[in-house]
Amino acid sequence: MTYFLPSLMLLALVAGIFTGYPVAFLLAGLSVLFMLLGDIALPSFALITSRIFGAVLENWILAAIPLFIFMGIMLDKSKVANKLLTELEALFGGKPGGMGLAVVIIGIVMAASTGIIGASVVLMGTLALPMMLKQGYDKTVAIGTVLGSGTLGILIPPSIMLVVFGDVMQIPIGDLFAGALIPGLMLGGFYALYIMYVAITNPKKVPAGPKPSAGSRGKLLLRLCMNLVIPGVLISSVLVSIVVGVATPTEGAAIGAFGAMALAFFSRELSWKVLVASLKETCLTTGMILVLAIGATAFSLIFKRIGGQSMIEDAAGMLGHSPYMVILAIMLLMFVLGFFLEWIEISFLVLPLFAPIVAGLDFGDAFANQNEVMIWFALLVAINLQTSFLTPPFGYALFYLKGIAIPGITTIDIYRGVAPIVLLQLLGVVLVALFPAIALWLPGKF
Amino acid sequence: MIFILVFVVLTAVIGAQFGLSELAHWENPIPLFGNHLSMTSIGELQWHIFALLVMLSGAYAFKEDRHVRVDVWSARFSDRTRLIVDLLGDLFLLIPFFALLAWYSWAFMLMAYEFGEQSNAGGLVDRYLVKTVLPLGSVLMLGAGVGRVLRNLGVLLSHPSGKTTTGGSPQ
Amino acid sequence: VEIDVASTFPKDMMFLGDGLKQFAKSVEEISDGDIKIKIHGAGDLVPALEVLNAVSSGAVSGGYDWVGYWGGSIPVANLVGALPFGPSPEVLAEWIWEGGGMQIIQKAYDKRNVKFLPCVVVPAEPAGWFNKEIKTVEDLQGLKMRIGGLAGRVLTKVGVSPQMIPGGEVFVSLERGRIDAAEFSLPAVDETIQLNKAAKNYYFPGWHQPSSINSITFNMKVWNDLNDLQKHQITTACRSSFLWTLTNGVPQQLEALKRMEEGGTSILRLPDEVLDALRKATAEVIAEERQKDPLFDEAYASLSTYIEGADRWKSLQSTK
Ligand code: NA
Ligand code: NA
Repeated sequence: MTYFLPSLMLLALVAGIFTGYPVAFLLAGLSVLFMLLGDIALPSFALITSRIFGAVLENWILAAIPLFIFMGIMLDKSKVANKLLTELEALFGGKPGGMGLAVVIIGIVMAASTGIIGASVVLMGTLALPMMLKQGYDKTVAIGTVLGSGTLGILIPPSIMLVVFGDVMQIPIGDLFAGALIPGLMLGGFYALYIMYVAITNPKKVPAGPKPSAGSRGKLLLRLCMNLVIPGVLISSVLVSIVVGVATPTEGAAIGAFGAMALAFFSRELSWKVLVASLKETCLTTGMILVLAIGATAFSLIFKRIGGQSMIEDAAGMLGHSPYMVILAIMLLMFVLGFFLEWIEISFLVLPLFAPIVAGLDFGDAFANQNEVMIWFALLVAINLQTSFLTPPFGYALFYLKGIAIPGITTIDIYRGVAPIVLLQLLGVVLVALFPAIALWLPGKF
Repeated sequence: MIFILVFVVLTAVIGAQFGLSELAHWENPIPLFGNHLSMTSIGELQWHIFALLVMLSGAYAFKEDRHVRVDVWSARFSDRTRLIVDLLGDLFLLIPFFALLAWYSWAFMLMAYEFGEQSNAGGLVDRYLVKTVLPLGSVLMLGAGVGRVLRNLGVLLSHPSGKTTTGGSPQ
Repeated sequence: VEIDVASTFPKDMMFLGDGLKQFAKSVEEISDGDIKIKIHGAGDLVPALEVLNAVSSGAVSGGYDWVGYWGGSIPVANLVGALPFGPSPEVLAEWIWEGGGMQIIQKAYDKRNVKFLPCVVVPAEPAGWFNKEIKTVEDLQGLKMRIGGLAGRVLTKVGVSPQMIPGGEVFVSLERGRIDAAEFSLPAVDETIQLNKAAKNYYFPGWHQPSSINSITFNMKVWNDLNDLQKHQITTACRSSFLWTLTNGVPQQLEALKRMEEGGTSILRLPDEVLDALRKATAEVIAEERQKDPLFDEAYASLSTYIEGADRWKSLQSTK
């Protein structure tokens, strides 16, 4: 019965989560409750206080988060993506599956411009999905394309999730960004292959639209390049400066935020009203993420004090000696948790419990050093958590899509559409697990 | 505030590129900065602003009800049930936590004040100022929490039948 | 009794973590199991930089820290944390244990309600890792270096731009040119975070920190609740771990240096011209500190007497 209290604490957390009460306050409140139950003297709360200050507020790595959020919102407001979408659509729409491919490309571009996914799923849902449906695309294929490419933003750098991973697991964020690029593009490639496969086997599901005339084609191509170049330069300069190490993640994010604001200004999309709305949105998202970090800090401190850490370690120990079994078990657990939780809870709460266990695993000669193991593990988790946006019943991307409420789309359609994408995600996890070089090759180049 | 953060960080980038160290120096010490502005001050200023941003945004997100809720099941709850969940949660989880945090972080801040905590690398002085954001943020949360409890209680008491349409927790 | 000790270092950190383990082991052995020290690594209970506050408020019973962390609010802590051009470990040992050093520092800690015990002494650290060679004082101009404490302020005076880089990012920042130089720790510790792969030139001497003390602290109430025997047992264990660190610090460093040298690291010495400039700037910074804080002034005067005495003795006894 030594693990009675920590088990009870987890149970209370699970039960509490399902009541729909805000998770951040649930975590915070449970820490107080179990301090009392665990007979921990009240002055220990001073530890929680100093941890909140030291691990969250005084943490300059996390200071990159509001900046990346603001950068993403600004790029969204500059409407670059909207223009790109119409141009790409006109360019590719003439072939079966062409429009689907255009949507995947936009997904990748948006993913590289934002650290969170709200904006890209909404944009894809409101703009791309109706266009595809109008052209006669099969609902399942259209929804899958939109959801998959709309959630790539959490994986392809810059990504707030990877900033948090870097902080929690103590790995350089530049390495994580570099490592995530190829797996992210690989998944984008999978979605494209999926569309091409449908185009070959069942072209009626992804019909062609009107072909652009030869003359307009050239003009379109030119406009497309113009629209692609400026944000492209901005984003790649931010990423390169972080990966190469001339800027810390916070500095890179500030450069990006400033550049995105300039871009929106010169696209004449930046009014006072838009700016205020963007700032408000940035604050709301920042508050949401970091108050959860505060709650998780309090919860995990008390959880460890009443024996939670050794409980987790014992449980991991029962998995046997194969390090790959341990990784597999953690991945399965996170996949299951991903049905109900989002990346924020998992990264701040679950990841810190498992990171030390993974750091202690011995893979023999499979990796050059322990830093590589951690990057590889972090990226497996990252793909896994991108999937959590897509898995019912609780997946943000699904909610956004439901929220947009397109006529003729039912919840069942959404579930059916996302199923093949979730399978592709799992394929991605398996590939990165079997061939760590997919994640480790690029960071090794710097 | 985000602007200030962007500006401060950009100054740090530019300063670092040019290898600057001491940017300005003056006679009479002023709060937070002491009597000089160095690159270290600029670096530390980043997380000072971030700390303030987090605590204020946290309270703002509460007011707008933007903190993450998992409504897999609770989506099916009646408005009244949801209201009761929030009421109980606020009373037994949120309020005790932020009351304790306000109390202990006040002591935490006082200690920094009393002992003149400051940067040990020639950066900012007056650490108690940034530590004040914790009690400040906690009190804001506490106020918002008590406000919601009162409002929810009011709604519950004035609609004992269970038909509630206003107040409570918007989704 | 079981006493929680929150460390400012990772639990298993080479040498710096071992010192605490050595202390904990001695306490348990000497007291025949009556006193147990439970070690918590950095961040497990409190973030490293909040350890002293936590001990002071009683949130944890004990702490283990590099004393220099508290130099911002306890100026006298800089004397035994990292005093540029300060005493060698042996002289610091004499002063702190027998020359009244411990009592002077305790005066500052009394205000914090904390008992101070100097239980670990750290040998001189190298001056740091540099991407380019340092030949003249001009080479320091505009140099971006990760360094803190009094030394950071000294370097500012000769034109260096001190940078704040968190421990986890030092390697990447140095390797990729965000900074030009970095001071981290002892060679064996620097080797564990692979700084030898990030920069080529490893400079000596460690003018910024010829010696330093890691202390064990107890909340005063916890300390006073112990009986006299227990207090003696802890103090004796402290002396024992002090001696253990004094006699075990250097060999590991020499082995690490040898390995790094074989891997292509250049081990160099800062030119006398540069050291002279640093010594001059240090005198200015110390004069400022002495003016600011009376206790620092008192302690510095006392320590200086010791250093001069030790120098005299050394020259008298010199057989070279
Ligand atoms: Na992204
Ligand atoms: Na999910």
